[in-house]
Amino acid sequence: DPMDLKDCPLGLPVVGSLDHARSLPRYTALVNNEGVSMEELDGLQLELELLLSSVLVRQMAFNNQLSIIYQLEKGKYVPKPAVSPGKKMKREEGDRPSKKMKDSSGKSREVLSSPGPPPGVKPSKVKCSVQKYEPVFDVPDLGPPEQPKPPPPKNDITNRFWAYVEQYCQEITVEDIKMLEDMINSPSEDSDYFKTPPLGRHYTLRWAQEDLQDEQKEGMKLAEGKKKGIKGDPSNSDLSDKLLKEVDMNGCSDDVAPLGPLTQRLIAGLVEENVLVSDIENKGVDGLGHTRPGMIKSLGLGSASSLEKRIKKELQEQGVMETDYGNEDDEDEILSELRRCQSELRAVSAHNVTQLTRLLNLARESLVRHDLKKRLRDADQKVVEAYRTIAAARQKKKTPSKKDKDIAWKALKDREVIVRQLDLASNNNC
Amino acid sequence: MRGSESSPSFRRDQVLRLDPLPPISVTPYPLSTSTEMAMAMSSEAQALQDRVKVLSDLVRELQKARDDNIPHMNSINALSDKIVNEEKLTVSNRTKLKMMYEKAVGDAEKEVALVKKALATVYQIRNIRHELRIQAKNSGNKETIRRGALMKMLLNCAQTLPLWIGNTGEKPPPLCGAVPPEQNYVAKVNDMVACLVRGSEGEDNWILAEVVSYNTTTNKYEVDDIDEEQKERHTLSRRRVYPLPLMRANPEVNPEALYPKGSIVMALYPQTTCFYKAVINRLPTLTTEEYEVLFEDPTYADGFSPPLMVAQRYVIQIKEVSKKK
Repeated sequence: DPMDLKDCPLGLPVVGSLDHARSLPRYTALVNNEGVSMEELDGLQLELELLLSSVLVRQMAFNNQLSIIYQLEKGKYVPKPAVSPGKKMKREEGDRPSKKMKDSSGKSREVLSSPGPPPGVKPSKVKCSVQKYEPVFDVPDLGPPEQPKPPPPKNDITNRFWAYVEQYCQEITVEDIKMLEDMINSPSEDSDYFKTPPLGRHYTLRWAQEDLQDEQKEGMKLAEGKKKGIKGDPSNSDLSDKLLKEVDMNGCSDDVAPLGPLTQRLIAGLVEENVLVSDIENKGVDGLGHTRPGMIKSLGLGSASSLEKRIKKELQEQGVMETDYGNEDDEDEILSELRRCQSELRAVSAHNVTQLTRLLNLARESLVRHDLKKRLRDADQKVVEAYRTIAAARQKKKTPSKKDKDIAWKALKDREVIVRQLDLASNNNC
Repeated sequence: MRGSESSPSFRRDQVLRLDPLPPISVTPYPLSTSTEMAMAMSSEAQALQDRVKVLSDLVRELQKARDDNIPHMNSINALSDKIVNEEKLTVSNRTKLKMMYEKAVGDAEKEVALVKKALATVYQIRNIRHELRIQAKNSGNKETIRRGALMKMLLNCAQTLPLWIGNTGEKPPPLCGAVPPEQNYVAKVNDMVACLVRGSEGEDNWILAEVVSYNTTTNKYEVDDIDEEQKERHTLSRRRVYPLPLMRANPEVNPEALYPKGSIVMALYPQTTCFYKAVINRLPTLTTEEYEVLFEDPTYADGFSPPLMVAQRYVIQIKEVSKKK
């Protein structure tokens, strides 16, 4: 029963004879009895080889088709070979010997294929598959041939270099300018840094309170193990506050707690020094408060720092001491450090702003130049086109038309204008 | 008469080449006029003419056979067209086709035999001329070959290297194209080889040379640098000598005897007599074509030279010689 053509594994090749008249001149001359010169002998050899090759190819094609027909006659199923117009070399697995030729020259050579290989069939003896080729290479002196990954790996150091340099050389964009402006206008959040925070509680007092709280917590932890139901923190912290207040009171009343230096000098000046001589064995240098406890408190002078302030003010008003326009808090080391840092911050901020502004101006200018350059490129393009038109016209031995000339002149003049502008802009920066 | 266009659903094999083929140009073998004249006047000149006559006759016989075969090929094409138009293959058509194919194979074999004879005659003529040339040189015509002439000689030699033609199914032998030589192969006197020699500055180079002799006791070759200006005769161990192929492989029939694309080889750098490491970029598709290779060259950005053409004769397997202590 007839086989459908689409299932037919035959290639039904179109065959023909090489047209020697068109392709083999020396051979043709010989056929026409024109003889051959000795110089043409080599060329004749090559022509004969080509002729031979074409006949062999034809012969191979016939043999392939015949082998398929023989199989069909035996009733074997022959799959339709996948014929691809041979640009790629197919690698077959196993024992399918296939004659595939790589068409790398771009000519229209198509592929011959012979399918399935019963060992008895002639074509299978031609072990053409490229894979089988490899072992043939196994000469003892050499290993199997190296196969690098095609294409050979490109040296991309140049690409990396340009990518790196790009950061420095690329054009300024509008976004960059906006960023700079933002940076200049933003430092309002620094204002926090410039405030002098009010003096907090003195650290001794704070630490004392914290220590007390810690001890209470520990005590609670131990106590919790024994009895539950102790009230929560708030009451305990109240307790600690009360304890601390007592301590404070003691501290205040005890003149060992700091009296400002001015106060001390004043008192030392006013009170006689006799006290020291008689009391030194017994009291040491504990200070005045020891001999007369409660005296200072009874004077109602208030805390040491406020006393210090009042004395200073009084002395200044009396003209005894020069008015110190400096902030009386200067003696505080921390505050002075704070002020120092703040002035430093101010200086650095100002510097930053100056630099950013300078950068911003440069960026704006370069943006202008960038635009000019772009326009220059366009102008160049126009000039080149005009040139081409004129050159083409000239080539055809025609004089270029007035219109073309005008276009060319205009293009040139425009370009000059832009170049001058660009020069001006560049000079301003230098 | 060619076959008609294939029906869109059925794809037909293409066997015919591009028509016309690219023109063949051969670098002529450089002979000085004096040598030519000496050859023309030699007593052997008559033998040449005889051979040319034989060749002429063979070619005409060949062409007659080819002309006779054309009607048969046309009927094959006609039957194929019919089958394509009917869109089915009947058993009777298949049998007809089979008989036609079988006859065509026989016709082709006849053509092949005649072409081979013609080619053989061409080789005979060439051999006679070769003898004449040597005679002319020995009879006082001693000229050293200038570099330009040397290069032309090398090109001509590569182009006219005999093509290997096997019978159906025969495998290409050693030293045909890329097929390596046998293990114990020894190059013959006057064969061309590539050999690794140490230069004056201690660098090793693979150069083109001609075999002078082989010493079986020491297992060493004596070779002459092909560049006569060097006038150097080297004595080298077998490891440092690699024979060049003796025959070209036919890309249409024996593509397995070609170096595959992407493989690393040693190739003769054009216009020089030295071999360098290269990578195969394109294979020849016709017997007359050359390999396209990329030479390893650190002076280029990507490490390789632009593609250069090298004939089959001057492409050999890469050989790393282990250095003896």
